[in-house]
Amino acid sequence: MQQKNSEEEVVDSIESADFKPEQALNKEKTLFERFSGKAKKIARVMTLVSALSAAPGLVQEAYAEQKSPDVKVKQVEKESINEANVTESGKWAKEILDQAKSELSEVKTREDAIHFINSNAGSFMRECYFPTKGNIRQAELVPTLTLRKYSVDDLRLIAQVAEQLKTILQDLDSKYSMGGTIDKVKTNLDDIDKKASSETLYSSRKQADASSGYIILRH
Amino acid sequence: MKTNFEKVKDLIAQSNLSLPDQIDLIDLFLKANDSELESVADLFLSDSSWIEKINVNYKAKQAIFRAGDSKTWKQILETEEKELGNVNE
Repeated sequence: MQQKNSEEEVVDSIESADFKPEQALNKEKTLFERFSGKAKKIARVMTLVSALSAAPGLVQEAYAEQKSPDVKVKQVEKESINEANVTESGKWAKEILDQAKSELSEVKTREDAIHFINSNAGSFMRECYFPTKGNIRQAELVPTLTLRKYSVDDLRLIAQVAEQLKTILQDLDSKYSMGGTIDKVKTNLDDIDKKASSETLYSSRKQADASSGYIILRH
Repeated sequence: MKTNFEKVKDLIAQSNLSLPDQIDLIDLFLKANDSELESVADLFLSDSSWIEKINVNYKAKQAIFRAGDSKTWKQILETEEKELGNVNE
């Protein structure tokens, strides 16, 4: 195998550190312009897969993280929720957060904190990934899979609750040094936050399309 | 009349992909407009082997976007270009 010279290695490392999803998508699109016929049709599918894999929310997050760690939080806070449009598919998230806040003052030890996280963040994650409340239906294709229909404001609310639970987790972590105990919980909350945020943008774009209303916030 | 999403979903369901992979791929296409899925439905209908190829392509891209890995992205583009070049021949 041919060894890379130091210049190539430097260029590679700079590119890796500066990965911009939108530019990556544009590069692929440009590259495919020369194809025609069947290849062009396949290229169109490949670019669609790229765009959907990146997801609008994910692209924005990637930029936000590069600019400033505060940007993403500010973006979420900016999205105002219209309470009137929150349905039963989203109300449960607020109930879990309210319950968590009311129990927070009772957390006095590391063990309390672990119990608190398992109970509250656990309930939130289970309901996100395995819906039982709100406007749900079984997937036609996979009967064991439950889908839930969300309004845009349901998803905004879920994203914000995930964000607030993460903040609570971080506070508990700094007080009680939770270490690796809560890594999986953090990962899942991040995942839910990302999915709900990107689906919010997606739903805003095409809220008239009723067939798209059933969304899976699965890990 | 079936929507493009329903066509794509049915074709994926009939494919040899594992059940979790089928669900993941259907999840992905749930995010698209139905008109955007016309090319996907046509491709999968004309040649079902593309379902598996697109699934592999999706998994790789998903990992790259999560990791922000531009080096692997370049490799993906090279592979795609080669694959599309073979289709033209």
